[in-house]
Amino acid sequence: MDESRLPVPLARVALRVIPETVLNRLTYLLIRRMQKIHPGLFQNLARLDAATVCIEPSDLPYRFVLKFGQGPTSLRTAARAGCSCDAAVKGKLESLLNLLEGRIDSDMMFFSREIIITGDTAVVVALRNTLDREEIRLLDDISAMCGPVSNPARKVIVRVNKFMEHIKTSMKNAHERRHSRDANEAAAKLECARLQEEIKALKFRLAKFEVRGKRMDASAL
Amino acid sequence: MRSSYLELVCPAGTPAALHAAVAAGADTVYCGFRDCTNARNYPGLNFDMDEMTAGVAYAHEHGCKVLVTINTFPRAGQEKSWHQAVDNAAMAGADAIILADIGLLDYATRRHPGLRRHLSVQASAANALSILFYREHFDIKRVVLPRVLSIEDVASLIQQTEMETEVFAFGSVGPMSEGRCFLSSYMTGLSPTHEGVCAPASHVVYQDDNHCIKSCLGSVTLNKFSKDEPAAYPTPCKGRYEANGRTSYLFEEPIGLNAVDILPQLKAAGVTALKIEGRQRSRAYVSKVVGTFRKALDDLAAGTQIHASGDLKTMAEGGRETSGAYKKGWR
Amino acid sequence: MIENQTTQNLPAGKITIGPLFFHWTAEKRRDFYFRIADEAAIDCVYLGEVVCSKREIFFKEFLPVVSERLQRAGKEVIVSTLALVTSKREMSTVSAYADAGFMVEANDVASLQALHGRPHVIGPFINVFNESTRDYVIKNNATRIVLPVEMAADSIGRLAGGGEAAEIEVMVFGRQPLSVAMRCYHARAHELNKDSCQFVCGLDQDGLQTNTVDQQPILAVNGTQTMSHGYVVLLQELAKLQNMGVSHFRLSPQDVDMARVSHLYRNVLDRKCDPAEALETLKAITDTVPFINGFWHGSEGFAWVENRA
Repeated sequence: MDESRLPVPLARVALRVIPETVLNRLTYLLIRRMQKIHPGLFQNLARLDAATVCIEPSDLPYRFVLKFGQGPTSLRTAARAGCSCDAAVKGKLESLLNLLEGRIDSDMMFFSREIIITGDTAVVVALRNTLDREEIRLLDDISAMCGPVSNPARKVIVRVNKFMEHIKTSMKNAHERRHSRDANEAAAKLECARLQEEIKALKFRLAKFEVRGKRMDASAL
Repeated sequence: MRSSYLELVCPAGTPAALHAAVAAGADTVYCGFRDCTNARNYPGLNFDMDEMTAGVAYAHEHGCKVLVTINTFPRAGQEKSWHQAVDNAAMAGADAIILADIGLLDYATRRHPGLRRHLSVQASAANALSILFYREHFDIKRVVLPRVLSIEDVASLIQQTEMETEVFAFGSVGPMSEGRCFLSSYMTGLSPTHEGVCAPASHVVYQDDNHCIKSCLGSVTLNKFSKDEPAAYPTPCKGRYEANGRTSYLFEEPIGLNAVDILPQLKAAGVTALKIEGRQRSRAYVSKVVGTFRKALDDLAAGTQIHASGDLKTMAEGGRETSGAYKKGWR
Repeated sequence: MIENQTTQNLPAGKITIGPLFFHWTAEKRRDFYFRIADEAAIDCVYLGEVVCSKREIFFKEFLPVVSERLQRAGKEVIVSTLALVTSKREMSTVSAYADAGFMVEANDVASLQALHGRPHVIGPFINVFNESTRDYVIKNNATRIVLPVEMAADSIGRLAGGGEAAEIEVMVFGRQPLSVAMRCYHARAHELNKDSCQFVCGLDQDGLQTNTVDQQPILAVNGTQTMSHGYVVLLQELAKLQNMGVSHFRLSPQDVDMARVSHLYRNVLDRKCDPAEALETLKAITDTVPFINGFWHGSEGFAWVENRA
């Protein structure tokens, strides 16, 4: 795995389990941190016409509203229904993160329908072009949020993700085994139990991470 | 040396794309200012003066040349902005400027005689007489050839004019004579010739229409496609139209140009430089396309088999490729 | 009305017949020009093939007789050249006209080179969008400039208001040419290509109507050329154009009674007929084809903007 990248499965799980209020606080902090790391990006965003873009990860229960142009940039979560944004970008979380980090050509994702754009196309084009001016490594920025503990935090993220990938593979294997005729039911059960344990451990680790986030949240106020 | 080396000319819509192009092996990058003086005037794209100066310096440090594109046609009464762009390109240390307008060529020739002038594809110089006109009047050093010529046409032009030529190797296919196409302003009121944007995003709308996606430019519906068809930009010359009782891509299909398979022929024709189109595309596109062409050109120079086919298909418009007008039968 | 007083002192505007864009049979073409010579209120006629060099051969034999008849009727005759020159054969045609001493309308920069500074007309397919370009081509001996169809009123005003250095011509009637190409779209519409075109462009004497997928008529295809579906009509703008300094008014031949159209425009230019009335008469002549004037107003070219004046 490319260890410079924010692990998407982990991000997906994290985004599912973290309560919305905490998430909003975290995105606020992330934006604030990113303003320090990428001042040019925010200057360029401020040069654009004022606009709101709805970012809809199709594999998450909610979406984000990004506000930029002619003032401070903000990112917050929003409910699935009802949105008065100028434009919306919809796609899998992984595609959207790739887009943000400029790893994959956005036009290509558009041609292949990996992302779907609705509303004011000019707003999305302006945002894409502005983001593309900057080298964004979200993992670095998120780790940087953790201040002095950024390196350990980064390690935790990478480790937890490895762990998750391991679970995913195990589950996949288990699934395959269960569906094969010669499957040993006992072994499968055992594997399931082990997986449940692993998931439990993972949730625990995540919760710890969440607490750490809350703590930083509090100290930042 | 010149005849055996094909120069790779790469797009940079942003400073980040310029860095990506240099890293991926560009010999030359081309870019424009953040206004209507260039033909890729999209929101959030292009260089301000500081970025241009820094971009030129960065490229030069890495042994790479920079061409500044000032290839729209100044509007009457507003020529000052275009003159400013020419002066700024000179000040930023550009290696050459790419121009299309006769008046602007005249200005640059008089004001900056020492700054190399290239003739933009927007000037639509598709024959030897036109090229000679621009050379005699404005001492142009290179001509970017229109995308409507076959390889045989290209070879013949080079033979007749003995001019440095730059041809498109990858990017969009333009079926119309460029710089003289008013289809986009006919549908939007915004002129690519002055504003530098064809099919401006401000007028592009995608609508869900019963299992179909409808793409519109202003109030004109340019395409309807089923949801499993690749998406495409609503460009007037790449829309579906109904004529003679048949609905079809009357002008051109949503398809990208890729000349990687005919590099040996282009080289044999005597082409000086290969141009990758796409200042409006992302830096990921720049890395991928420039990297692929760098390798292909290195293979070509080393006399080994070029292994690049198929690599870039996903990057092409509509996810499909053509060698466009280069091969007979296209027209 | 101050405007009327000033226009009365202006020289009478000249009406021209632009080059025929469509592929009519040689006989129809010849008879068309004979009628123009005999009946129309026209000062100048542009002959010659602009769209496709493959068509040139057909009318060649009639050119001298048509040209002679027009000149005898007191019309100025100018030879228009191809809008997109690519082959050696096309270049030699362009050079031949230049060398034969015809007054040439240059539609590709190739013609300018072939002319070597002899007096000529700049056609609408060479981009003259600003003062510097205008002044440069005048210095190169252009005596008249036909402005690009895309140009809006304010830009026309700026370019026409430049003194008497060259005459300025604006297209005021007909389908607006929007693009030229190497590819033949008429052939494509018939699932052919340019090299095996069967001259299918001759099937549509006024252009092939092209609709959007929503059945909105939007363009007209004419061989390698793409045109507006509607006819541009700048009848109500004639006085303004004259005031700006525009001296020549181009009617682009359509498959309608062009002699009648020319008289209508003549009468409006001479203030013998009210523009609004003339517009109604024109509608009767042109049948169902809509009128457009969007480019003049700086909006979508296919639009018709009601005259508020």
